[in-house]
Amino acid sequence: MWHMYLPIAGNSVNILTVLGLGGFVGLLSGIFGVGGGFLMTPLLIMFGIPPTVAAASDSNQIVGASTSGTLAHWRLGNVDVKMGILLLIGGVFGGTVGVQIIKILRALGNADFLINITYVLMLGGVGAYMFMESLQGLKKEKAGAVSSQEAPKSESTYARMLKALPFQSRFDKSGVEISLILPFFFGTLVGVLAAIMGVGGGFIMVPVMVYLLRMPMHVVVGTSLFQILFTCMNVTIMQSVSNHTVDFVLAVLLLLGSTIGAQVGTKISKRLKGDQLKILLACLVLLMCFKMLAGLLLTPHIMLAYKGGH
Amino acid sequence: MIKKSWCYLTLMLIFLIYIPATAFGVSLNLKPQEVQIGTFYDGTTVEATGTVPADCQAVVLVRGAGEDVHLKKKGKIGGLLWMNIGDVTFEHTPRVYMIYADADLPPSLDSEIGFSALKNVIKISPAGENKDFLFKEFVKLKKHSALYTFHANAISYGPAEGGSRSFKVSLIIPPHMHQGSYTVQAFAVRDGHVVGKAAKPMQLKLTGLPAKLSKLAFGHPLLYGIIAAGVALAAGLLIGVLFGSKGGAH
Repeated sequence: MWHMYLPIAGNSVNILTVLGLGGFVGLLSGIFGVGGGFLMTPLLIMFGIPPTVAAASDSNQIVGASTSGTLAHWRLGNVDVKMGILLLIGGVFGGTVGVQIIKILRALGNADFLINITYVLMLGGVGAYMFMESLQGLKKEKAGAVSSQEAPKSESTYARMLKALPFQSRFDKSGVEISLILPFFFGTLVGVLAAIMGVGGGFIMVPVMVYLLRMPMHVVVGTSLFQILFTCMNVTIMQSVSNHTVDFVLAVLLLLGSTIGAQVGTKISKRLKGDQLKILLACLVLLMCFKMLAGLLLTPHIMLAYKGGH
Repeated sequence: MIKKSWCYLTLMLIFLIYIPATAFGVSLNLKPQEVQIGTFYDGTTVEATGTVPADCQAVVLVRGAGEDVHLKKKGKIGGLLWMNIGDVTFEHTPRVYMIYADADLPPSLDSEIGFSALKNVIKISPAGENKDFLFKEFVKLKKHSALYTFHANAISYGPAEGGSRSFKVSLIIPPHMHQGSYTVQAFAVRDGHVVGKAAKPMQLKLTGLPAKLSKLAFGHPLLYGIIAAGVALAAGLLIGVLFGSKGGAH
């Protein structure tokens, strides 16, 4: 009675389990501004959904969760549309380049090795840096040695370099003045990495916005969700047309949970401080990194695997 | 040599498909013969009944259509990291292979109708691979996804009457068994060898919402994709508005 058949996945699922799964990942999405694909896809595969269907249907549900999350963050004034659009254009361009890179790597025969290494290094590097940086921030705050504003210390080389770039523009919501080239460049970079790794890239985009574009954490979350919304709409349509891998029933069940989860997550996010948010996301990213590393180091139970997953 | 065995195999398959439900003193009936996959489908059971000669045991086999399966082979890189190191194709593999018996299959019977019998049918490419090892891993993978199964002590018998005895077995149809045509075969076994057989086709068919969605996804993929993205967008907006109007956000 509590089961529903998924016609594209070719399997049935427990309705309550999928609703719960959607709710949990939606919660994380609302708190951190990540799509949650890097968590949801492996969980769905665990429940017997084919890897390709899991990834495509997850993109479909992220459309719902990120719409709900974007709307909530919009109301709080946390969405920088101008920045989001530039990152999005860069992301689409980078995604197209990334797909071509993967094609070349597959032809050379070492794609899987590079995908896995990129995954572990990105997750490990981003997670460790975020963890250390936010831990320092929390320690400083505890010692009471912080002023409420992040005081402009002596200007770093990176900051001077940013100022030297042409097409400087003011991003009001983010409170930064940077070159228009910068978000496009980083959007492209994340797009390339996301295409290589086969994920939406939210967990790379968030640190990029925080550390490289110097945006405040709360605006980062809203803007990231805004950008993810459009990326995943594109992926849903593309996957439906090219691979027939979007399971609409699965996506609807997941998004029923995730849209509500995203709303609750946004409210939790509002109560947490920037450094607390960053340290939690860092833990999540590091956890995924260790899981991936364990998969690479431990002897597999079966020496064959279906194509489509990492 | 290979061509000869293929001709033999093809002829055998054609023969198996067209053998009547009652042959060689073996009969087989399925109830239902068509399984309907609806919205709340979570797998089902099909009751297989029939007769075998009184001095024989019955073995029932559910077999799916043949397909080529493309898999990734795992191996160590740099003596440290386990990764996919190459592609391997298993040709002419039955999608489903479920055996129901009243005890474990003796080796002689295993090589006739058990998993071992498949080793002679399935072709592994590229050639030169360690066939025994890869076949073992392939069966392990299929067993892990419960598409290749063996059920011992699954058959019950009725009393012997007029030289034959009836048998009954409940065939488990898992939810991940896709729609399509399957063949159910009943074998009469004496002294560890097949002495008679009968076969019946079994259909798994999508109905209702799953059938409609499947038709739309494969027949009009662009429309399907736009609807899927549009519904998700609308659901997100609706939930967002509902939560927003309840207060919480300013």
